[in-house]
Amino acid sequence: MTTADAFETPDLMLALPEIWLLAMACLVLVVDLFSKDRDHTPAFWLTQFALVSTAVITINLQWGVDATTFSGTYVADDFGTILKVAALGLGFLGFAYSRDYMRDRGLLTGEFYMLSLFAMLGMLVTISAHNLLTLYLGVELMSLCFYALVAMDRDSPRASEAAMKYFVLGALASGMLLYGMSMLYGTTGSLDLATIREAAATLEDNRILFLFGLVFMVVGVAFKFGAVPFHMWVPDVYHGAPTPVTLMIATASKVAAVGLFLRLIGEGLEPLIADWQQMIVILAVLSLLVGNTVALVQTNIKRMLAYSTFNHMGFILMGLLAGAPGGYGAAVFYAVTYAMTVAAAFGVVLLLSQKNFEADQLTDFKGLNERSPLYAFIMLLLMISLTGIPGTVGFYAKWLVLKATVEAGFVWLAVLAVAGAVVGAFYYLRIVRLMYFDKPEGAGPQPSGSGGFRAVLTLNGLAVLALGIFPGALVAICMAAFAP
Amino acid sequence: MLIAVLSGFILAAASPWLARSVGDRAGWLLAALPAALFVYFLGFLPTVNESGAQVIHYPWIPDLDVNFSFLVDGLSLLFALLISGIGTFIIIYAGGYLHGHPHLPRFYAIMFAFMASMLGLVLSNNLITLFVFWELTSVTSYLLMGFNHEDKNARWCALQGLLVTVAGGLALMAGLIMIGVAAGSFELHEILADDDVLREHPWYVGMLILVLIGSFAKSAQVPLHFWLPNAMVAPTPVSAFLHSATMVKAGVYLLARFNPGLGGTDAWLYTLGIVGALTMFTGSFMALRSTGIKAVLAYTTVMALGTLVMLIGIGTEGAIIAAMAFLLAHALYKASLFMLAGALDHETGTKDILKMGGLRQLMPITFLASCVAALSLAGLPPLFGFIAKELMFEATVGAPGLAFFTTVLAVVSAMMVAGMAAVFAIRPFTGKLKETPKKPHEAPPSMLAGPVVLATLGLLFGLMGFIPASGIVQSAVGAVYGSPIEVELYLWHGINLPLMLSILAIAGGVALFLRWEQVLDFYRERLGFIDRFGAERGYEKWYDGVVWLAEWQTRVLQSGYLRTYLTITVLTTVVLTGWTFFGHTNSAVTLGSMDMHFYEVAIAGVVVVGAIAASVTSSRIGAAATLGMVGFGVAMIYVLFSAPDLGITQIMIETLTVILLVLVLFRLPGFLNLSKPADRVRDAAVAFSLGTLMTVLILAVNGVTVTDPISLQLAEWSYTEAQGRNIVNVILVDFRALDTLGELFVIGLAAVGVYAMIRLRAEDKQR
Amino acid sequence: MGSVMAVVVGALFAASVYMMLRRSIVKLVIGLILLSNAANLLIFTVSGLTRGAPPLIPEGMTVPPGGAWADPLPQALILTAIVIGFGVLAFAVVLIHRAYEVVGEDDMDQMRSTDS
Repeated sequence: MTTADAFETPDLMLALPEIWLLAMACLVLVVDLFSKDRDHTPAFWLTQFALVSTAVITINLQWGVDATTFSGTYVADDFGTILKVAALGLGFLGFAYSRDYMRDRGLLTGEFYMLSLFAMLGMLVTISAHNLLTLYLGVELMSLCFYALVAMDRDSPRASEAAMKYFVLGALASGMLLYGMSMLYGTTGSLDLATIREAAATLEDNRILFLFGLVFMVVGVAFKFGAVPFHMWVPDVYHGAPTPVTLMIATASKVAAVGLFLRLIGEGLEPLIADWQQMIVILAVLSLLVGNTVALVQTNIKRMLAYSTFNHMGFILMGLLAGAPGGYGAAVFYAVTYAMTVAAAFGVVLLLSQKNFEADQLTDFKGLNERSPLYAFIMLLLMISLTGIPGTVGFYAKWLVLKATVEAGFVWLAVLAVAGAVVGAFYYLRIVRLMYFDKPEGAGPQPSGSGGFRAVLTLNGLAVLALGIFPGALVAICMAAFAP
Repeated sequence: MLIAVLSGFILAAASPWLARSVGDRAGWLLAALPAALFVYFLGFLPTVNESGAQVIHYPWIPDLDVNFSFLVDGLSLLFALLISGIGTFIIIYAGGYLHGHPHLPRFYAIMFAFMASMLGLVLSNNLITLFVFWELTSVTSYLLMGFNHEDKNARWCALQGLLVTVAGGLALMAGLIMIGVAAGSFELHEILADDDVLREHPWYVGMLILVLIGSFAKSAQVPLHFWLPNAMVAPTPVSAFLHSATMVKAGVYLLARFNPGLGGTDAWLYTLGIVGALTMFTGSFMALRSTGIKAVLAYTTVMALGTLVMLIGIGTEGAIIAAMAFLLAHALYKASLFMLAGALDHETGTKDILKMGGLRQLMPITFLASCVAALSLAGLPPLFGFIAKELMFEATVGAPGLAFFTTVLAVVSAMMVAGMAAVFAIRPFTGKLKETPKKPHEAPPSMLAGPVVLATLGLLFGLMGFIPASGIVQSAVGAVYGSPIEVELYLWHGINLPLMLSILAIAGGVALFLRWEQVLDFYRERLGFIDRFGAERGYEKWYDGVVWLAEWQTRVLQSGYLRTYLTITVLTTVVLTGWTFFGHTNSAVTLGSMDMHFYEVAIAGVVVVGAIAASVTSSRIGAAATLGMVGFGVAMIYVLFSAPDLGITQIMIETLTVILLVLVLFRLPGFLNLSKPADRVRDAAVAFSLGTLMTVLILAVNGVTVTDPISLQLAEWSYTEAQGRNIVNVILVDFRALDTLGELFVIGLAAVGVYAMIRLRAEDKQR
Repeated sequence: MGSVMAVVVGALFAASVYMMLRRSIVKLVIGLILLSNAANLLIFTVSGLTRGAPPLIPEGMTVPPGGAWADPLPQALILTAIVIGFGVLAFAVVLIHRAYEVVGEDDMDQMRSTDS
């Protein structure tokens, strides 16, 4: 760092997406304060506008750019753009799906929008951070908002309990992340990721310290991923939180976790790949095999999706540990498309939920085809995409990751991953059977929800199909972001 | 070509509408598409026979190495012709069989999608598209199998079939990726062009196993054969199509396709030879005890698939010729037999052979066609089935290393199948007319067209073996074998060993037919254990095992106890760090500088004592007080070691914390001592391990020389550039202003979170 | 002195984890407070202890006196951490209080309704 760097006027334009989102979040807060609308309609539309406009700004300002600002603490680059736009898009879906649900339960408050928007901001900061402290702040901002969001439902003991567990474990994990960072600082005397990377490449007797820092950071990151064995919070939180919040945690936050990994470990500690690869392999193996089987015995779809997450996290970790551009690109593609698919799956759950009724039992899906062929078909697409059957985008995601893994020489891991995916087939396809071939118990829940909700959900579901047939463009973008 | 393959999907989308608007006769109209495709594929025959394989290429997703490229050679053409040709009759047949069924339009739609997937599968030149179509056939066939979903059994069986084939498919995916990466190309013609690239690759065994799992699951090889007989719950047109030319043959197709690249090794020979032969035997053995008319056929399909796999495994010229001839013969007679079985079932209302009899007069055409097709199944001259069986015996007799094993099993299986062929063709039609649920009469033309034509073809090909031989079999054999082979097919080979074996098999078959009742009794009385130890039990046991594992995990890992979660997190961290530490040879723990002052140690002691006291105290006030002790002690440490700002902040925050605790703590319940002593010891051990780890880490850090931190430079700029004398403050508000802003947001957010929760509580009280 | 501090930090961590593993919900709060202290002290220790040389620049000078003054950057980091820690603590206390109110149990072992 030179004097000039330290005192340049920061290029505010480069960080405009975050600044814009922050301004919009404050605007939402103010508008909502003065709005008399019981349904918080202005806040809703303003929030959606904020997300879309931020995404547009991000694409315009940051795609194809590779620059830092704020004395190197903020970076704008291609893969950051992809992840940010994906996170914003997932947020958009989340809000679109959650409005009716939250209103019916009296949870549609200004705080909901505020906290969610700040969580989004936290994600963007995490993805764009180029400095340990900034990264940590982004992660904390996101996590804190999620703790609060999980606890939003006042009547639910389950939610309070889940929030508490999430918080305590999350605090511990954040602590680990912070210790890891302080180790790195202790060794390199710098918080800047580029400097750390240089230092990591020329390690001598202080290597061991670096490795300790690495272990702690891997633990922290694994927690955010929900990778086994740091996964225990996932089912409780998915089940306990209000479904829209679950949706955001299950989707956008995973995308942010990929960002966290890529910045901190993939970028900052890239020279230590031989060391962290081993750790990630352990996590990936456990994730693929351990939590996954539990999904088989679940009767609650939220819990089932929670347990099934582990398998997918295993796949994402596989892509990440392959290390090469192909692996990173595959992991990003996997994360983005997985999140999109899961968002739609939660969307269907929300669609079937009514006032005073949660459609989160598997039995609620019985005979859905007779009640609503369209949404049964969409759910079919989602389930076969999550299984990884061709025709849907989930297949290409798995294919890319497996290919990268094989190319990186981890043939056995690829085989193991396939074994895990086989277990997945059992519980995903069971839902298909319920919808198409079983008779509902009683009347069964009817799809509810406004026209806008239905339209977005339908598009979301069909996108899974469309990307399954024409994945080329998205794959090209993901790969291009990591091209040397 | 692209249009030809994809037209099925297009028609699938349009067919419900078409079927509804055309009405009753829609089957005849819709059959035009497969018929047209059949003619289209016929058009390729001359070129392929003359100049060999053709590759037709359309780029799709070049970034992914995914292309729509099609490989048209003898093998793919043979399959494509069977699929489209038999498909034509199946569609016509379905129109009659499912006449008046409310979901018939949907049936057409799935059927066309399935047919198109199947065509895509056999024609794909690209491994990825091949796999895509492979899995599509699994899904669409699942929907077809579960078509009669009012039946609980049908749902279960269909799901079972889907799971087995999808599971196998995923294994195949891994195998194909390995092949693609190993060969450096995902295009089949390039992979297979280089003979030894796969066989000599270090991953050979791995990719072989994975590909075999996929193929065996799909083609119902032992021990994964159990799903196929269960899959006959499907409506008969589906069974006829699935069993004769499509679905189950996909695995065989794949093996045949990869024979030039993966075959020819001992592993290939013995795995395929033994598994195939065992499947062949199991299939015929189970067929013999079946009385359901479709079950008999389903098990003979298992037998046929076993035979094909065995022949491909043997891999000699003769074996490959036999495989292709057998494939063709089987497709012809099995499709017609299934359609005839459907006709019997449709007209009599029962599927049980024992309950039918004397239908000869009432259903003469059905009877005649059954006889012809069954003769081919039994392998009697002058039918094509006979030629195929002769060739099979010839191949097993000449099998390297497995001659005795395969020949014995082949002869025994052929006996049993011949017996069942006779049962099928004779029992329902002769004897006294039996009472059946429906009043039988001859089936409609739509249901007879297929069986009659296909059975006749079986006869024609038998009499004039040169037509199939030069027409298609020769090119197909060339494609499977990897180099061209001259093929001649004729009935009379002279008196030789295969002929003797044939005669033996037929004699045995006749004996079995005559004594069938006794055979059935024998199965019932002596062989009941099969059901208890069969492969299907294995599947159920496996499923139960996974469920048990899941429940065990829930109990142990996902108990809902926060402290279990914490313990696992902490211990994993300790283990990972310890592993890193001890895995490193040059890691050293040094005791740092031992220079210390008395008052420093005293303060450190205060902190430690405070911490311990806080953890053992049983009163809330005590806890608040000891925490204060710790907090102020830490503040003192900051001050002593040159961090006055930290000290001040810490004191302020500590004061606030104590106030907060006092305010809130007393709204919470008192301390409870709930844990058992054993629990406490365990928790103390966990806590101690983390504490020790941290101590060791710091000591390890002490032993390391640290590079000059950049913050020294920051200090230099602090006054010169930022005009501030307190460097920490300058950093916070100037150098790192952005982070401080972030910090403010985090605090603000915490406040919003607190507000959200408190406000809701206030509202609760109002309610 | 570093080795003494190492023991102090270890003890703080051990105490905090031990408290977090208790069944009584109130003890969780104590554990969290100890944890945040432990973390701050860890960073402080790892980045080096310096006696009597605070990073302050006296009048008339452009750098702090003496050759080796305490590293200001970790101090800034810890300052941030202390403040955030308090915010988080306030949040935690309210959260735990709510959990206690809604669930009506202060025994952590009873808080496992999300268990399937």
